[in-house]
Parts: sequence; C-alpha cells; structure tokens
Amino acid sequence: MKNTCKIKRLIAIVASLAAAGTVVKAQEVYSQIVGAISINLPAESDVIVSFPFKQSAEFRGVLDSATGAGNLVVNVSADSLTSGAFDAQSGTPTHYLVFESGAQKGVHVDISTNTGSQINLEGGDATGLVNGDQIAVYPHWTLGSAFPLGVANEDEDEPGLRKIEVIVPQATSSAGNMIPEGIFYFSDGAWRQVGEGISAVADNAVLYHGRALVIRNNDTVAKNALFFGEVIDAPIAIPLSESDQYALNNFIGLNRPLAITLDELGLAGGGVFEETTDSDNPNDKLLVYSLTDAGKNKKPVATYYYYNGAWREESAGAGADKGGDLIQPGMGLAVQKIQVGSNPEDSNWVNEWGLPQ
Amino acid sequence: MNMKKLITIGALTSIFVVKAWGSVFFTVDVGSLQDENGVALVDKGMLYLISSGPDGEFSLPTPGSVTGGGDDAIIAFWDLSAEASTGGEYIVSSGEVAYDGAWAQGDNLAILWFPDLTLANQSPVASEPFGFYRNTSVSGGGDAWELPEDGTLLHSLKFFTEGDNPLVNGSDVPALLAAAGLGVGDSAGPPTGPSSVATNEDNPGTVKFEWNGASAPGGAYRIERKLAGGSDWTVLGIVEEGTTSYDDPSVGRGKEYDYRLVAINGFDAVLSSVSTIESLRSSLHNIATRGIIGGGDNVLIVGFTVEGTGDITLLTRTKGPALAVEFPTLSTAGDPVAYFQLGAPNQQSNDNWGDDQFSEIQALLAPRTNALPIADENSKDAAMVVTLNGTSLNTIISTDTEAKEALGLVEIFDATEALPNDATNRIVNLSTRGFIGTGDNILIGGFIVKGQVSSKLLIRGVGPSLALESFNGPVAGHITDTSIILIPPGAAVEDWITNDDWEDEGNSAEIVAVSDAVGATNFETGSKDSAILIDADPGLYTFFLTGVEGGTGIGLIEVFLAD
Repeated sequence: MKNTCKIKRLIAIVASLAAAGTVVKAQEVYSQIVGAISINLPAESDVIVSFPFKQSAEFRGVLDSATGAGNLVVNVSADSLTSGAFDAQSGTPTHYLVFESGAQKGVHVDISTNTGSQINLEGGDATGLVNGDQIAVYPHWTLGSAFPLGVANEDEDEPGLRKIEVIVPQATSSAGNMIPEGIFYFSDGAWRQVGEGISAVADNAVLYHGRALVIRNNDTVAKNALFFGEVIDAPIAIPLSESDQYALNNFIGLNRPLAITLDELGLAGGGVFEETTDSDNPNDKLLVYSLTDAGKNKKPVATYYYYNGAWREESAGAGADKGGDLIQPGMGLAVQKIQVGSNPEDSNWVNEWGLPQ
Repeated sequence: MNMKKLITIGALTSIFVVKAWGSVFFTVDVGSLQDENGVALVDKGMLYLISSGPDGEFSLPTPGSVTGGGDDAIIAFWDLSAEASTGGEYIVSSGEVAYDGAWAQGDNLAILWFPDLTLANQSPVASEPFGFYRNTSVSGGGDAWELPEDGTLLHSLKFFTEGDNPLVNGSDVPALLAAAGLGVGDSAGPPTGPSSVATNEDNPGTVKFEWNGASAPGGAYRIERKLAGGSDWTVLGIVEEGTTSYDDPSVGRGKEYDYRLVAINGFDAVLSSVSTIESLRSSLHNIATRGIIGGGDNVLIVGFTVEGTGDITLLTRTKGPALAVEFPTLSTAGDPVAYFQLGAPNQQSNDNWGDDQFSEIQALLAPRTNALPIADENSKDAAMVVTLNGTSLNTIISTDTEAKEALGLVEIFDATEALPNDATNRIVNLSTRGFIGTGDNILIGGFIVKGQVSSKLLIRGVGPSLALESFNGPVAGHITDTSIILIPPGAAVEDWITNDDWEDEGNSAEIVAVSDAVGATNFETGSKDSAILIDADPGLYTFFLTGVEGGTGIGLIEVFLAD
C-alpha cells in the first residue's frame, strides 16, 4: 500500500479543545494532526456525541477514472492497492473512500471490495468526477478501535445492568425521536450488542462517519469518554435525507475538533437547508443537544432555523441573529428536514473548515 | 447457570394527534423464565408484552383469550421456539410495535408467557399454565413497567430473578416468579400481607419470625430484617407461599431487630407490619487468676470493664491463706491486700476480708455468685464488695504484706442476678497482669460466660507488646514470647485450643477486626503475643498463660466479649 502525506504539522489537541502546541518535525517528515477530546458523561444521563476525529488514511492517490451510478467504481493507478484490503466483512463495510478535491470534495462512500487498481463502492455516482481528483481511503471507526477498553474503561460485570451503553441511533427517524439501531456495551474484554448474546463479540460494529451516537451513563457517578484520532480539516460532505411522509431527523456528527459557529457550518445558503420564509412556521431546523446537561432521553437544547439571511433560535425570536452560537466539538446534531410534497431526495451538506493558522 | 432470554423490541409508533411519528424502544431482559414444571423455556412457548389499557388494570387470560378481554392489548409477542440460543443467552427476536388507540403513555405493562402455546395455537384453554409479571414495587431493575413518554430513546424493562446468572449478580426477585405458576381461569391476583407477625428466640441464637394470613398466588414471601432504628433492610431469604415461619440463625447478640415479610407475586409486592425483638446476649461473669504476688511491677493486677447504664455489684477476692488450704503443697501469699482503683488510686482497699464488709461479702457468695465460701472468717485473705454505675474501666491491685513472692488467687465476680438481657450493666472485658514463671508459677485461671447463647470471645496473651507505649509500656521485665492454652467447658485434651503467635492460625485479619471493634490495641505484625478467637458457649473456661521454651516475665491475659 502506498501512502502519501501532505500535512506538515503535528498538533496535539488535548481535552481542553484548544490546540496545545505545534511541533515541526524535520523538513522531510510529515505527520497528520492528532488530537484527543474528553467528554464528560454526567451520572444517569445521555450524551449525544459525534466522533470528532478520523483514523489514519490507508491510501491516498488520484482518480484515474470512475464509472457507474448507484455503485460507483473508482479506478486508480495499477497495482497501487493491496487487493481485498478494503473489502467489507460479512456485509459490513470496513473502509470508506473520501473525495478530497473536485466537484465531490468531502463526499464519503463505503467500500464493498477492491483490487490492485479498482475500488468498488456501495453507492455514489460519477457526476462531476474528473481524472486527477484526490481521493483517500480511511478505515471506519469501530467500537473496538474507538474504545478498545470500553467507554471510560467500564467493563460491565453485570451485562444485564449495564453502567455504560453506546446507543447507535438510526441515521434518520421521524421528527423528534431517536430510534436505536444497535445498543452496545463492553463486557469481559469485548464489545457486545444487546440482543446478540452475551458471548458474541461486537468489536467490529461500525461507528459510521458523520453519524451521531448516544452514550448513556446509567451509573450514579459521572464518567469521561475519551476520543482520540486525526483531525479532519478537509471538507466534509454530510448526507441529508428528507421524506414525503413526515419531517425527517438526520442525526449527524460534524467531526470537527474545535468549536465552530453556526455561520461557519456552511449549512445554510447552499440549497441543502430549506430556509424559512415564515418565522412562525420554520422549514428545516438544526437541533442541538447539550453535551453537559444531565438527564436521559434528551430533547434538543436549542432549535435553529435560517430566516431572513441569519440563523435564528426558536426561543430567542426571529429578530435575534444567532449565527455566532457555537457548535462544540463532539456535539451530536440533528438536521430536521421538512416534509416534502413528493420526490424526496438526498443531498450533501458540505462543511469546509481549516485549523486556525 | 440459567439460560437467559433477552428481548429487544424496537417500537416505531405513530401518534397522529400530534402530527408526528413517535418512537418507544424497549429492552426487556427476561431471565429464567420457566414452565409450570420449573423447566427453562429454551425452545418453546409464547411470550407477550401487554398493555393494561387506560384502566390501568390487567384482565387475566381466559379460555380462548390471552388478554381476557377488557381493554388490555397485546403490544408484541414472540414465538420462543423460533429463537436461537447464543452463548448461554437466549435471544428473542426484535420487532417494531406501535402506539395506537389501544395504548398510550402511562399505561401499565406486563409480560405473559405460556409454555405450551405456539404461534399456530395462541388460544389458551382452561387451566392452561401461564406466568405473569408486572413489576411495580418488586425490585427487578430497569425502568418502570409502563409505557414511557413518546420519543423515549431507550426504555429498559428488566426481569431478573434471584441467584447469579450471566446477566446479573443476583436479584431480590424470587425465582418462583419466573415459573408459569398460574392457570387460566384459576384464582389469581395481587398478594395480601399477613394479618399478624411475631418473633421469638425460644431456640437461643435463632430468631423465629412467624406470620399468619398472607397469600401470594404464584409468588413467594421475602423475609427482611434491619436493626431497629436503622433504615436498610436486608433480605434474609425467600420462602414459598404457604410457609408461616422463618428461622434466622444469623442474629448478633443483644441487638434489637425489626422483621417484616414482603408478599410478592407477578402482580405486586405487599409489606407486612414489623415485629421487633432484642436478641439474647451473654456476659462475662467471673475471672479468677492464680499467679505470683510479687513486689514492684510484679504485683497481680486485675482489670475489667463494665458497660451499661445502671448499677453493677461485684465481689472481688485475693486469696493467699485460703489458697494454701486448697493447695497445701504450694507456696502461697501470706497476707494479701487488695486495692480497688476507679479513676483515683486506692479508692477502696481491704486487708483481711472479715474486717470491713463481712455481711455484704457473705451475701454474694454462692449461690448468688460462683464464689465458694472461705472457711476461716479470720483468715488474712482480702475481699471487697464494689458497686459501680455506668460504664467504667477499673483495676484491682493485689500485694502481699508478708512479701513472700508466692502464689495468690485474684477473683472478681459479677453479682448481678438478672439474666444478661435484663441486666442494665455487664462485664465486657476482664484481664490479669502478673509474673509468668514456670511450673506451678505460670498464670492459671478461668472465666465464666453467663447466658443462653454463644458469644464471640477474643482471648489474648500479651507479652512482648508490653514494651510498647500503646500497651501502657514499657513494662520492665516483660515476657518476650507468650503461649495460651484454652480449655472450653468439658473439653477433652484434644479439643483444647492453643496459640503461640497470634498470626499463626490464619485468622489474624479477623483478630484485628475484632480488636478494633472492642477497642483493644492491635498487636504489631510479627509480634510473639498470643490470641485466640472463639465462639464461646456459656460455661467455665480455663486458661494457661505461659512463656515459650521456659521464658519468664510479666504477662497479661485478656478476655474480651466481642458481641
């Protein structure tokens, strides 16, 4: 496997979310930016989080060609890949491809199989792709790679009375509610999934890129969840879905290591987020969940909509510009897409962001 | 190990009233479900999650109807024969359920299981066995057994039964509740508490808790106890319905306990009234130690602690001439003098027992106490009657005006006539310090445990620790290595208890704990002092405190009542 590194800084971002320092290596040594964030898990509470980091790329290269729609096939230079290295296992993807430049910059698509020069994707289309577009392949975070010793090192001795549960919600659900797609806990040195047997190992359960997840602390004492990995400062395209049956919540994670303002999200103004024309009847909404409030089954702590050229917050009224409000790193979000009359479509919200210089 | 059943129910529901789709997600961890014969339901039967409907009450199954009519509704059901076992955990399939007009937030939830129904035949017949569980006040863990607010992310219902299993480390829910102990059409319903409860300790050391009139169809009774005035109930055990008493041999001594019963079945849990009892206790009645009455540090000293609130009358004696009558071949003290000290030195003293309190002393001899009379009313033995009030630490120092450096016998008797539970004050610690010689001159003694129940005793032989300030040292001429022999009442030689060094028997941690509890300074690790910890039945105990390998010096024998 041939990797190329183009980022020349090593920055450790630890706990406080602030850049703790910059180390410039010898001129010919390049490194990704790594960081760590500790998120408090209040006692007997849910915390809706998103993984703010990625793992190291296992391939970087340029596009030779791309064909197909629905299940895109990407070609790269001959023999630049190890055949089968990115293959899905038992139907579960292990890696995803990211277009890091070009018309689809930030878009990520799961990989089904690969050969030495070809990557077959589960979805995607070739629209706008041109030879020379930069691409990268990343391994998905799994429970085992993200929390190898469990969240807060909590190894359950009573799997029926779990202190810590990781609840992976369905990517979308009807407005207002999360529906668990999987409930996981760490016991006897491995991750387990509720309903799959206490001996079945779920270490390879995927935490999908850009998805929110819920960590439930059932214990009576607060704990901390540590997130660690490489900083994503490339564009991120977050898929958003809508429905002609009901308003649809998209539970997403922004995957940024520092707080950014609503105005920096790039969500409004691009046609992806339905702007509000009547402040009494908002269209699309951005739901923000507190990282610090205690309690389970959390409701959004703030609900934003975009009206008259600015972000507004429901409780603050339509006259207050809330564009400076911050989305904290690790914070889980929901984009609520208003019900459409017909022909619901998926779209990509592209967030572009870079580390402060 | 019980097979575990774990059910996940994903519920996507529609609440059209609020123009939104709601969701409720249940996790039901069901453990140890059994059929009517107590056989785990590994691969058969039907399981139902039902809602009470708006009336909050559950109709029971009737022939032909799982829900028995009324407004109860089946939210979800599972064919257990279609599920797979994985690693000791039995997995029931997940599925979606929806709010509809038949159930809503706040409705009570229950599970029903029919071991003999199948997916093809879900129509129970008369007397069809089934199980029912709707947790309310029964501790099973998890969330409330009711439909949660719309949008609740994860509402987790749990049903674990007593005993360790792969999912939990035990539970207070009786295992009987997991059996299909009910029959369709048979009488069933919430439990009733007993009409009366009572306790006694007619069998000393075991409290019997009795009740009448309780019922728990398909359930059981949980027996609980706490210290009177406390708030934490301890589960003692679970007994079948129909049982009317429970024996509790785990009581401490002289403690006031509250007992209650919890009648439990799958419908509810009902508390009984409380019955309170003070458990029996024992006391130390006497210590008598024979040793050399020397001069200086080699005087014989008896120490004792009384604990309580009322008066306690004691008889103390120091025998020299009287000892010679009993053991004419021994060299005995010629004219012992006893000095009683409580706070101040020499608060009370006696040289010759007939001089001062003759009639009082006579009144306290056997049978009032175990003190046998001294035949010679003019002998030079010493004796006193001492009356104390409240808790105090006391000493009696015995010397010999003839300075013969010979053997004497120091005694102290509790003259309280009441049983230990009725006495307001009692001796909880006795000790004697003296010179340990060899042959006839070792410290020999005895003590009496008075009462109806055994008590935990700590007996220590202190020698090298007398060099330490923490043991009121340094005592010049202390012995450097002690050994104890303890002879329980009527014990044959092979049942004698011996100890050389206090850590020899592997119970040093308990000795430390008991020492802490009774307020005794702990020995240092590796010291050559001696200690014996026993559960002592009432009776007369004899002890020998000697030096090891002929060693001599000043030593201390101590007896502590630990409960």
